[in-house]
Amino acid sequence: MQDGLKRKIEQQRKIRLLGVFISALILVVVIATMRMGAMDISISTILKIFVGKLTGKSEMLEGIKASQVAVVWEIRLPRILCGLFVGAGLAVAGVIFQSLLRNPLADPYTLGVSTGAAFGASLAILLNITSGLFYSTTLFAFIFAFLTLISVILIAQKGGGLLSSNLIISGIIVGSILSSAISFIKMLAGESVSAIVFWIMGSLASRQWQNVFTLVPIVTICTLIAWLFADDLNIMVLGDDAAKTLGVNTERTRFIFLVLGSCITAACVAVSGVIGFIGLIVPHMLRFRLTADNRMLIPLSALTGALMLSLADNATRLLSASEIPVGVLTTLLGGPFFIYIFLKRRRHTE
Amino acid sequence: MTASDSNLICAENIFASFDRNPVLKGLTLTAERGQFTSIIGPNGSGKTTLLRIMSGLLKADQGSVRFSGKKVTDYSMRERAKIFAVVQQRENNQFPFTCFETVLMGLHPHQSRFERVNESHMEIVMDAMALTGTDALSSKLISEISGGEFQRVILARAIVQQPQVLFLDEAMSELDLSARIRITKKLKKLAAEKQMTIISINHDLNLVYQFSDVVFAIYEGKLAGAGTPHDVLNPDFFKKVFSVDVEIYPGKGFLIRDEVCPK
Repeated sequence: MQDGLKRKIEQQRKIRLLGVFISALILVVVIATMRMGAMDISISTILKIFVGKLTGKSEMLEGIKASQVAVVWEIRLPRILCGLFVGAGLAVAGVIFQSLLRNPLADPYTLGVSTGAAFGASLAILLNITSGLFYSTTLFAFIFAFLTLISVILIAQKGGGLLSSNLIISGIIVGSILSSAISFIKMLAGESVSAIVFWIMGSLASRQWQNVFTLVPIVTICTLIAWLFADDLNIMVLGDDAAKTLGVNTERTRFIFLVLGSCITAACVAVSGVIGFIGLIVPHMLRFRLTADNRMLIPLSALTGALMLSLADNATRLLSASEIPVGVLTTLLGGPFFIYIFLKRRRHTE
Repeated sequence: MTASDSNLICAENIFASFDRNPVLKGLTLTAERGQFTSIIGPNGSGKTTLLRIMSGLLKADQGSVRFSGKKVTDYSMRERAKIFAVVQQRENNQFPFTCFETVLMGLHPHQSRFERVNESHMEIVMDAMALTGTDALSSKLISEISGGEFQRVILARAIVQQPQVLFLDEAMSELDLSARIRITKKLKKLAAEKQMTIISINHDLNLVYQFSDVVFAIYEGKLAGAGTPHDVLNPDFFKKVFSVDVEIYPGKGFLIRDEVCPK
């Protein structure tokens, strides 16, 4: 037993160190990103704007051009925060769905929740074009993400209960129906189709405070709750029968985590469109490299996801002036990388 | 009900079916505190179904199981996990938990959400790992160990639950002979010390013969025999239930001669 205990303590120490290291990296990336852009703004100016805005002392902002304040506070910061929290959220949702579905290859999109959100957003964009009214894409994305989750749960329940296999199958069914529906909306949109296409591809460009206010509380609260129930999530991995004999109310626990994971996914998709592979690769890699214990995996994945997406977003800005959508980049890079870890794992287990 | 009765687990007139095919047809049995109880019978006779019903994992179509006079289905999952531990035939897990982490999960029903593992917990874990011979495995991942080693880890986890009834569904099927005997002996000792009841499904009938206090035989969903191993395991019984010819060496065991063609 001593070895196992030692390994566990060693692991915890390593992960704590890694957490501190990643947090420091995030800070560096955030500062660097604050300086990135057409307008050259010095770090001291940025810091002054920060302090001034956060303390509410407007005298701190004296002597700084209003345009600089606007660029830092209204354009750069919301985008950075969205990047951090979408990255964190997708990674945590990935941890949750992989454990819940007992499938290390599951991700936040496996249950079709994201397709539901994308459908809602597409619908809102279409209505805005055709009716001239302003429907909120965020609200629509949220509503349809939840309608999707509810239908997936209902279908799984009718099909024999909330087992992981039933959930995955009904997620695929509902997801493919919604994909077709999105194609149909694109067709109806005619010449304005590019707005929908661009949104679905996933981007953090021109996000605003209003997006941050939707995203941050949902991701933070859901992640905290998931962390508190991490022991139950660990036991869910053993399967329903074993979990029940260890005193876990499997139906209730599964429902709680489905809602948590879907809330996070919906918030992320509503804010940024569909950004692939962060939610699959981050938890998968950390799990097999470091630990399967969700108590440590949840916070570490959140930090790693935040860092990865921020870096990816900066890369899209550096790569081309016209900005490739970050969702395209994560999938382009994440896909091959995933093939690599998948093949390596096969060799390892054989 | 007398005081001593209150410590029994009893299944009364259990009926169960799968897809309308009856599996159990009115089965009654009781197990006493501290006893090593074996359930035997051919494949498909309903042993696992009975165990699942007794441990509260499955609901019977008819009949009820009571522990300390209370129906097992009336306990919450958490309460039940404190009194029953179950080692099931199949458990698989693709996630890289260490053996130590897996055994530690047995503490779950005894811990509140914010309670961390303390020293007395550690002692329980240490004892369970010593009993099952899994100390040396503790830092290994469950994906790195053999089937037999995995069975020992799961058994250790069940012991950590400190149950009053330990259900074993072929929990030692993949262990080698000497390990089977060693662990069975230790379990019997633990059962006597802690007044823990063991209800074990076992195909190794020689082991059943040597170590059981009580044997229940199930055949086609009904009780085909109950009593001490010596009473139950006789040549006629083997012919009827297992379709084999045996020679009994009283008090020691038996020797299988040949199968007999069912009439």
